[in-house]
Amino acid sequence: MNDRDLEQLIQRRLTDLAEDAPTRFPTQRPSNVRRRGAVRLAGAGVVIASAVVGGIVLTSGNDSHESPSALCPNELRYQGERYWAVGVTRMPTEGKRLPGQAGPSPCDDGFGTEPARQIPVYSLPGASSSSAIIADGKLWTNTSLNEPPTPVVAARKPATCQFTSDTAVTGSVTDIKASAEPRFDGDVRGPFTLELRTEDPAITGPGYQWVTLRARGKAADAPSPSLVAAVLYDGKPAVVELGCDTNNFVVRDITLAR
Amino acid sequence: MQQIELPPREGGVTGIGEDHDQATSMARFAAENGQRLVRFAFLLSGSHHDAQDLAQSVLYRLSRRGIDDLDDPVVYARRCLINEYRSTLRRLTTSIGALPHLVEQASVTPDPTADIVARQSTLAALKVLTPRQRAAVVLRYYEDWSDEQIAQALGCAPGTVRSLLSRSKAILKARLEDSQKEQS
Repeated sequence: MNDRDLEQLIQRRLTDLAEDAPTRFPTQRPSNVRRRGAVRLAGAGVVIASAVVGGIVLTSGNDSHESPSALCPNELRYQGERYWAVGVTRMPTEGKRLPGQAGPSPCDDGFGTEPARQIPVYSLPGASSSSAIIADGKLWTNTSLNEPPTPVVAARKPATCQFTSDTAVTGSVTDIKASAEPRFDGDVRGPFTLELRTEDPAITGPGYQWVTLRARGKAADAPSPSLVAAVLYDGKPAVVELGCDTNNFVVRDITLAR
Repeated sequence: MQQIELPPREGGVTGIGEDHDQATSMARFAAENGQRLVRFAFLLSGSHHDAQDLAQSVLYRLSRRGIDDLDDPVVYARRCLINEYRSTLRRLTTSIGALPHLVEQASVTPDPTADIVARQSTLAALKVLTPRQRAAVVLRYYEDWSDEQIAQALGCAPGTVRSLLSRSKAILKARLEDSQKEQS
C-alpha cells in the first residue's frame, strides 16, 4: 500500500468510525430534556478498569523512553515491587510510616515521562507491606497478587444505609450521574445518582479516613446547575440530607456547606 | 438563534453587558462545534461515555473562562480536550488478569447495524498509538488540520507533528493492512 492509499484509508476509516460517535448533544434546553452522562470531579475515585478505552491491554510497564506506551498505568514502585492503585469506597486510616519512599513508574505516553517524585509510604493495617500499601492518599496492591488482602476487600465494600432517620451528611460530591442528555453547563434533569465522600467519623466508622456514599435522587430533588458547578467543578463542600430506602441511600436535599 | 442557558461566570451574572456577550458567543460556539468536539473525543477515547464526558468538561470550562479573547477557540478546545483525556488516562490503570476480582469491566454496547468488523479494527488500530499519536492522526485525517494547527493543539513544533504522523502511519499501516486481509 503506498502512502497516498494509506492516508485515504485512514481518512475513510476515521470518518466511518466517527459516525458511531454519540449524537445527543443538544444546543437548546427544551422543558423536558433529559440528560445522560457523568459529571465528574477530576481526580476523585480512582478505579481499576479493564476497558476504559475500549480494551487496551497493558502488557508491561514501559521503562524505555524511546518507545512510548499506549497507556501509562497508575503505578507505584516501592522497594523493588510494583503496585497498582485500587478503587475503594472507604479509605483505611494509614498505619505506620514505612521505610524509604515510593515513586511513580517511569512511563512515556507520548507526552513525556511523568516527573519523578518521592512519596511517603504507610502500612495498611491488617496487611503486609509486600501485598498492599497506602501512599499519596490511595490504596495500592502488589501487581503480582492473585488475591487481594482482606483489608482491601473490606475497603471496596459499598456503604449501606443504616440511618434510623433522615441525616444531614457533610462532604464532597465526587460524581453525579443523570439518566438524560448530556449538558455542558451542569444541568441535571430527571432521576440521578450522586456520590458523596465524607470524613465524618460517625459515618466512616473506626479505622477509615473517608467513605463514599452512593445515593439516588428523584427529579424533584435534582440540584440546580449552579449548585452542581459549585460542588462538582469548584469542589465546595456540600451538605446532603440522606434517608434510607431499605439499605440504599436516598437524596432528600443538597445545599452548600457554610 | 438558539439560546443556551449558561452557568453564571465567576463574579458576574449572565444577561448583563459584557457577560451577556460572552454567554452569547459561548452558546454559538457550543452550537457550532459541540457535536464535532464529541466526535473528536470519541475518536480519541473509543468510548461513547468518555466522549460525552470529555466534551462536556471542555465546554463547561470554556464557558467559565470565556472565549472572546482566544485567537482560535476551536484549536484551544481541542487542546483542552487532549489534556483532559490524558489526565483521565493517568488516573486509571488496566489489569491483565493478576487481580481479576478487582477489575471493573466497562460496558460495551454492540451496534448490530454497523460494520462492526471494520470499526472495531479501526478502534483496535488506534489504540496501539499513544494518546499523542492518536490525537495527531485524528486531527490530520479526520479534522484535516495543517501541521501548524496540530502543533498548536499538541503544544509542540510542526516538525514534531510530522514525526508523530510518520510513526503513526507506519503503525497503522501494518494494522489496517492485516484487517483488510481478514475482511477480504
